[in-house]
Amino acid sequence: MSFMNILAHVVTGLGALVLFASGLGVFRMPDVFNKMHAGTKATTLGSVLFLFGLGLFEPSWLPKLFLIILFIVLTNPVSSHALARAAHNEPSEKPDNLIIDDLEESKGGDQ
Amino acid sequence: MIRTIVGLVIVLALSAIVISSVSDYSVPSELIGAGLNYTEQGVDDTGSVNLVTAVVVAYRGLDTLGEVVVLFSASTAVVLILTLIPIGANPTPPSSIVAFTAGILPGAIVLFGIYVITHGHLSPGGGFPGGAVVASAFLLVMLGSNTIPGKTKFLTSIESLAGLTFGLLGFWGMLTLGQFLNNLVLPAGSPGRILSAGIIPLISLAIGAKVASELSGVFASYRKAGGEE
Repeated sequence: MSFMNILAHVVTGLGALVLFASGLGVFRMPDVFNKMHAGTKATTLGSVLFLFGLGLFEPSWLPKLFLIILFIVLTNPVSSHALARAAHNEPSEKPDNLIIDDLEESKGGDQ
Repeated sequence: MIRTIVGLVIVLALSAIVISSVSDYSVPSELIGAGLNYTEQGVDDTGSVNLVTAVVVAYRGLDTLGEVVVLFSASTAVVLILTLIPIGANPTPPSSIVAFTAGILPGAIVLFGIYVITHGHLSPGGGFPGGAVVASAFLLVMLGSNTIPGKTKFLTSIESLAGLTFGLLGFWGMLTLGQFLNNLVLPAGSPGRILSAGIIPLISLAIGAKVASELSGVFASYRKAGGEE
């Protein structure tokens, strides 16, 4: 087994682990923002690692995989950002222990 | 707790029923019947390298026409309900991050959608997924803007034109070769080229335009239903 192959196994395995942790976080975290933290940040890293690992298995796939990675890196954080703001607009989703709320202050400020 | 147990019991009972009904089922080791015909003669019959598209658009074209009608009635119903009962939440202005992304990504998404639609007979894809991709670009543009879309006369005319094209392509086969939706009213060409496989690319285009305009219309009516308050 070549060095590249071992590295590819390690990277894809790491990506799968991160994705698993993300899924676990969605189940275990207490409120919507914590769930979102687990479900969006970790899936970005997990998918990127997994796709890059696939590219190490088959180097000829790397250009296409790089495009997919670029798309995920561009879209996944933006969609989670939009979702989080939408959740923030919903007062019933506000967790009890939320003390510092910069977004609320900035809304009250110059907007 | 009781709900969990009841759910578990239902799942176990259903599993028992399924297992008992398929216990003497054996997976055939080779293709038989229609599947064998499709795989052996599909490329010769239709000129489409992607056999899934060959089955969906050529062999079972009438089913696809039915699916298009189903999608049409579903989207009509959604738009009708949203017009009668506005859901009544004002659209919030997009944050700068969303607005920026909506400025740079839609072009690439539309390009990819057109690729998926036009290569339906060569690679996985076709009218339905490609149209959905194109519609998602419209959704992104809408999310990144402050405005509420106006009258969508343009979308409905594209939609009608695409549906009409699909039907007329079917009747073309009926008039020339005596068979509704016959694929070979155009030459099959050499399989693997983009201009091959008879009328499959044209039907893909029609389905793609129809799906994209329908879904965009649904998104637009959601936006309007929210904004009329």
